[in-house]
This record gives sequence, structure tokens and C-alpha cells, in this order.
Amino acid sequence: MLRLLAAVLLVLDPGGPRGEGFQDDRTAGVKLENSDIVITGNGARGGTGDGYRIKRPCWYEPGPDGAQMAQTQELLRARWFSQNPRGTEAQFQEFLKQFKDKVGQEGRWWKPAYNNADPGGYACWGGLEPFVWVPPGTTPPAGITLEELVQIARAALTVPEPQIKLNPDAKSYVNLPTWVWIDGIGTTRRSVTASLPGVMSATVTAQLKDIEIKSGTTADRAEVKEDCGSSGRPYVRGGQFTCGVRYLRASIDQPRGVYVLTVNTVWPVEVDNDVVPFAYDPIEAGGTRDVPVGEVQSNVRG
Amino acid sequence: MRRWLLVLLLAAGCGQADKPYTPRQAAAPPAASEEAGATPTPTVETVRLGPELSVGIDWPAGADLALLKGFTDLYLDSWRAVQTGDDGYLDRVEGAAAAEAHAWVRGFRGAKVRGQARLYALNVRAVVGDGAEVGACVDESGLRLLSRTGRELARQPAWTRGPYLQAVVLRRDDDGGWRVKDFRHDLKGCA
Repeated sequence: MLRLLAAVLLVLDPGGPRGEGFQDDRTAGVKLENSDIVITGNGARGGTGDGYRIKRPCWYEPGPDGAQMAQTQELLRARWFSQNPRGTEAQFQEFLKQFKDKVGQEGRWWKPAYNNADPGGYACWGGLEPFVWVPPGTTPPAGITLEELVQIARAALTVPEPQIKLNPDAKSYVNLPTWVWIDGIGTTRRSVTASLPGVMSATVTAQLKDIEIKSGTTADRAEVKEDCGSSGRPYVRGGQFTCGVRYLRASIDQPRGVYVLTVNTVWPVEVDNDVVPFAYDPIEAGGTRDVPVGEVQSNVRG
Repeated sequence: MRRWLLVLLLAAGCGQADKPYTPRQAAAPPAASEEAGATPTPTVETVRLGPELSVGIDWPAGADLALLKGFTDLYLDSWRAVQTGDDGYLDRVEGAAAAEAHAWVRGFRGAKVRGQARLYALNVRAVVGDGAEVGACVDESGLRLLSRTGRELARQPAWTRGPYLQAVVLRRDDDGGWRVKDFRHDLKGCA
């Protein structure tokens, strides 16, 4: 009821802000507008991207044929007059003529789309025409290409943020191996497919290959073991220490009394079937843990 | 150009853009070369749209004036349309924005406004090819909605209570001018 009342008040109030509301959190990733492109795959859900941006964040996509477009535009008569408040019937018929002229011809109308997650996507879309007639077998300037479809899939690709596991967990000691591994990753292969149904499709895949460990201090204070495989080595009692950090000095003199250990996961990215020759930088995702390191105290009794 | 002769521009140094307008601070309007390019320093302009309505515009230094005016001219012309019925604002819009601008003006149904609005934090958010996005904070808390008989309404619209962010996307037309193609807003964008 309150919502209805608010809606009525909004209708009654003239003036004020115009257009749809938006949250200005555009940085990267993919949020398609006016697009028929379908994004699928386990790499498109959850996780974090790496800020990869599509080179041109707007494009034309194939749309209806001549007959479909002419029919649609005739039905949108009321919309045309709302968008052309000074328009006359003769002008509307002139507008329709460009569509009627294409009925029966080979080709399609292409329409503009954009990536609304890109800071320049909305502006880019602003520079495109509302529709472009394209003969068969050709791509218009700014028409979507397979290369751009790969870029869209790449921009949508995310990897999970790793949970850093340590042993010992709460506090370590000088010369004691601190084992490092990661958890919460799930599958180590993440893919995204961007498809323009009936036209083309592209898939990119990231495979967790490596983790990188930074001790948070200089080499004379810590020794890093990096034979970690793809996700580190969970602690095994009596096992061989190959992945983690052995701190050689206590952290008491460090800011906040801790070393800040960093772990990055490294996910090389490939384009499936090499549909276009691309070499992407790996996606990296990581985190930090505070590691307090104490001296081992020993009492000698005489 | 005529508007530029009518308006009063304040030459202001950095950090002075928020100063309220006083006539004694009036300075000469920008030279033609400045109009075409960018304002060299922040300036405050007051545009009178009638005896009871004006709009203050805080022009930032160094911004693309032609692009920003794509936004501000539509804003000013929209209020002119409300006050006088002049539909010149329709020359500054196209597509969905034309429908929205027209509905916005018609929404007043003959009612008028009184007071001063202010545009500040004008900025070109992106320019890509022949498209651009411009945003500004719109403060209409100094306006009051009047009835058709000219009396101030007891219940004022929500937009008189605080500033909001208004963004537009513009398209460069064949003559090199900019026309507004779409609107967006964020009610909390200027809080």
C-alpha cells in the first residue's frame, strides 16, 4: 500500500531527476545492455575478476531481418510519436519507409549494445546509431567480431578468492616451518562462454597453476619454500616441508608485531580451440594473513 | 551567444567555486575562444530564466565546455519550456531522451517554479567515439513549485529537499554539436 502511495506521489510530482537510477560502481567485469549475447560457465559466477576491460565497450549485434524490423517499427508507432513530439504522420511514414525498403532484401538490421560495467560503456553506446542495415556476409564498422566476443568472455571471467590456511595457525615461532596452503577454491578450472546464439561463440578458460608466497619480510629474516603445486601443501604430521615460510627472526620489531604473509593464486588463461590468437596475462587472486612469530623460550634447570 | 551576453560570470580562483554570487564580483563573459574550448578557471554563472527563476552554474576549470553545455543548455531550456512553453529544448534531445524530456516538461501541466537551482560538480565522465557521458549535481532545494495561480504549494516535491546526480549520454551530431540521447540519475550521488 505504501509502495502504491509512493508511486502515486511520484506520478503527481513534476520535475526532478530523469532517467533510470544507477549505482556508480562501474569498474570492470561484464553487464550487458541491449545485447543478445549469453554468458555462461562456472567462471562467470562468484569470485573476483582482475579488472580486464574490453577494448571497445560497445558494438553492433545482428538483429531482425527486413520484414521483422518493418513490422516491429509499425507497431511502435506510439513510441515514435513520443520520441518525436513535433512529428507529423508524413514524417512517421518517411521514417517507416527505410524499413519497408529493406523487406525482401538479403541482410539484417544490426542494433547497438554495450557493457554497462565498463566506465566508458554508456558513453560508447551514445555514439552508435539506433540501427544499421548490413548486407549478408559483412560486418559493419563497430560490428561485433569473434575477437570481441573473446574479450567479453575474458572480462566476465572470475576466479575465487582463496582462503589462506597456515600451520601453525595462530602464532608461529622462529625456525619453525609455517605450512601454507589454500582452501575454498573448489574446481581449479573455470570457464566462461560468450555466445551470440546462432552466430558465434567463444570460450576462455583459467586453470589454477600455481601459488606465490611472499613472507612479508626480507630474505635474511625468512626462508620461503615454493614447491607448492597448484594449491599449497596442507600440513601433514611428520611430512616434508616444501611449501610455506620458515621465519628466522621474531616479529616483535615489526609494525603491529606481525609479518604480513601474502599468498597469490595464479590462473593462466587460454582461449579454447585458439579461435583467435590471444595471449592473456594470468588472473591473480590473493590475500594476506598476519603471522606473529615468537622466540622459542627454553628453561635450563641446574 | 545572446545568453552569454545576458549572463554574469564570476572569475574565481581555486576553491572559490562555492561562493555565493554577488553582483559586485561580476566579471566579463568568457572570450569566444574560451567558449569553444575549456574554461581556464572555475567560474560561477547565474542564468536568469525569468523574473522569478534563475540557475547558478559552477563551471569547472579545464573542462570541455561544448560537452558540458550539451547538458546545461538542455537543463536551462527545459525550465524555459516549463515557464514559457518554448519547446526549443526538443532540438537538444533525441530518441528516448526526447520522450523523457517532453514528459518531464508536460508533467508540470502549467504549474511554474520560483527560486534558484544550482548545477555543480559538472564533469565529463567519459568520451568514447561519438558518444559521451556528462554528469552534474543538481540542487533544486532553492526552488519552490507553484500552483497555476502562482501560489507556493504546501507540499513540495521530493527534489526540493536535496541534491541528486543527473547524468546524460550525448551523441555528436553531423554538425559537431552534442545532443542528449539518454538520462540516468542517482539520488544519493551528490549527498
